Amino acid sequence: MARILVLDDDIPTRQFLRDILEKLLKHTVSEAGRVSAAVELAKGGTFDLMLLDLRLPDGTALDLCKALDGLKIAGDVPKWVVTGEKPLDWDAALWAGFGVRGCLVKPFPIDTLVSIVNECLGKSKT
Amino acid sequence: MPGKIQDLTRARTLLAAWESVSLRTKVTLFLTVYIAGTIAVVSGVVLHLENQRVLVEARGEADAILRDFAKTLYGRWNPLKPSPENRKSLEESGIRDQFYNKPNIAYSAFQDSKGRLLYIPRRIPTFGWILDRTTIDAVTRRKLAITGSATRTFYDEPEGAVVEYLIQIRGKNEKPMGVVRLGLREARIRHTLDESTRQTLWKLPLLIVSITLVSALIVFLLAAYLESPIRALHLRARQLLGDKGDSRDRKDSLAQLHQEFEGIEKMVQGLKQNRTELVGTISHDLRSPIQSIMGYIYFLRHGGAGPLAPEVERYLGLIDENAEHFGTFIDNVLDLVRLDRNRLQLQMVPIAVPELVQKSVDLFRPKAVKDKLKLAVAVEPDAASAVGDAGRVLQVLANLIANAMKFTPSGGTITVGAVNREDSVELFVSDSGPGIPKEKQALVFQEFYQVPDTDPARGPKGLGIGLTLCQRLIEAQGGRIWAEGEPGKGATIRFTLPRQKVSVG
Repeated sequence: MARILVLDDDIPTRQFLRDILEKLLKHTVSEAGRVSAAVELAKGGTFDLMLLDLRLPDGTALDLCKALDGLKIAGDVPKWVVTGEKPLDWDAALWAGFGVRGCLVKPFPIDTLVSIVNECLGKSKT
Repeated sequence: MPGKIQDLTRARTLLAAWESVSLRTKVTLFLTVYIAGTIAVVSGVVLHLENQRVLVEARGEADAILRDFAKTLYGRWNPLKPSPENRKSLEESGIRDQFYNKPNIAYSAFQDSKGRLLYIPRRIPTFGWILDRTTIDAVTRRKLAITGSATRTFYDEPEGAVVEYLIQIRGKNEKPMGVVRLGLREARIRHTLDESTRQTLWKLPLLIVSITLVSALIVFLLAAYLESPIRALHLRARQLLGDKGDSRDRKDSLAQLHQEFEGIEKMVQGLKQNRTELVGTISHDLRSPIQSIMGYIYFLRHGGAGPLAPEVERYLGLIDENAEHFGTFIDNVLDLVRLDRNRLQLQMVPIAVPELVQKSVDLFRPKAVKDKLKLAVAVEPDAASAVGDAGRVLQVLANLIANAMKFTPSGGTITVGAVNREDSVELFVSDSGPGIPKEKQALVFQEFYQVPDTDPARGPKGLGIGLTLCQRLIEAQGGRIWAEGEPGKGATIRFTLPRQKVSVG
């Protein structure tokens, strides 16, 4: 049982992620559709994994990372960016500084998502 | 400067006015002026030639009279003096009368070799004038002695120029005896000719005008007949361009039609470009929904909604397969759009070809078992390393294998292999399907192209972008891709990758 934060402005995406992560993998999911809401959720509790959409109505995943970094919370929580289009100028080192492990480009096989989740949680537990 | 601007404005106004003239009027105007001009020039030339001919004829006539006269008198006119015998001989010859009857003859006279006047026919108005010139000048005399033929001299007379014809008369011993002088009023001939020309010229404008009118009518009808398809084209072009246009625009201007066709050309090019863009945009928006579908298929198949009946499981498998297909399609389209926008980054690294081929084949093992297809690997044992983006080459191989499997009926074989070439490594995927006709082998790489009359053995027909993407990806990596095979004997798609240079030492 782990706590996972899903940040995505697309409701169906949040829904299916919640269903898979909660009902199938038995984790707890908190959803946010905006960067500000995600910051509030992070302030209110601890998370074991964050799945972040790249572009949101009030900012980007990077904005969230920077905001959390400013608040000195969730810096070491493993994070994955889930997006339709991986940025051309994807700077792995910059993202890694905020705990972002990689970028998952839609449409991805669910097996990939499951193994990523298991890997992150396994590592966070050790 | 204001003058220049004024000129320019005037020129523009004129140009606009000319533009506003309808095509049929223009054509009619051009051809009418051309026809009228041609008639006028040809008539002028014909008239001039006719005048010349008449004049030459008149001169020839005078020459002939004199020559006849000289022949008659030859050796007979002796002694040369005004005597009843001579007069009689002249009258008998009948030649004298010829001079009276010709209105164009101004005068005629006979002189002995010393210049003495011997005989003047009757009714010669210029008698006195001739007497003033009775002596033959030295030159004429010399000329007479030498040539003995008719010569011409011009005199000015109040009534107009007179041309004098002069002929020598010889005796039996060839001794010059005298001359006959004949004055011919060419001016009068000319006058007569001019008179007739003027009459003809009077008729000529009438002729020109009537011919011009008739031809103008014919040309106008012809131009109108030619103009209607231009108008129709113009309207159609306008419709195609979705442009109602300016009502002042000429509907028959060829220049405008040309412009419109250029517009259509641009539009077609734009549409071609937009086609990929549009499919790209759609695909972009389909990513999230297809992701959800894939998510819920996974959810159901992994017991998210409880145990499933076997047939539900089977149907879910089919949905999953199609969703995967859909996902691949979206990936391919988006890659094509990225290539179009130069937004695809390739990581060129050394590739171990045998391993990559094996990996691609392994991806399809479960599906091959399910579809009852044999998957064979035929890699040369010493296959060299290639240079390329391993992920992208795998994507190309996967596309080619999926394609081959789609078109190969159950029981068939798909062979994936690699061969060393001089500067490259050649990879291939061949199948035992229906094959591709020779003339279509180059076309299969075109965007949205479907080989006609070829249906896949299984799965959807596809949009015809998989091979296009393969081609673009291989070419981006410095390789070449082509199709081989014959109908009924299976298809082979081959592609090359640059061979890794082995550094010596």
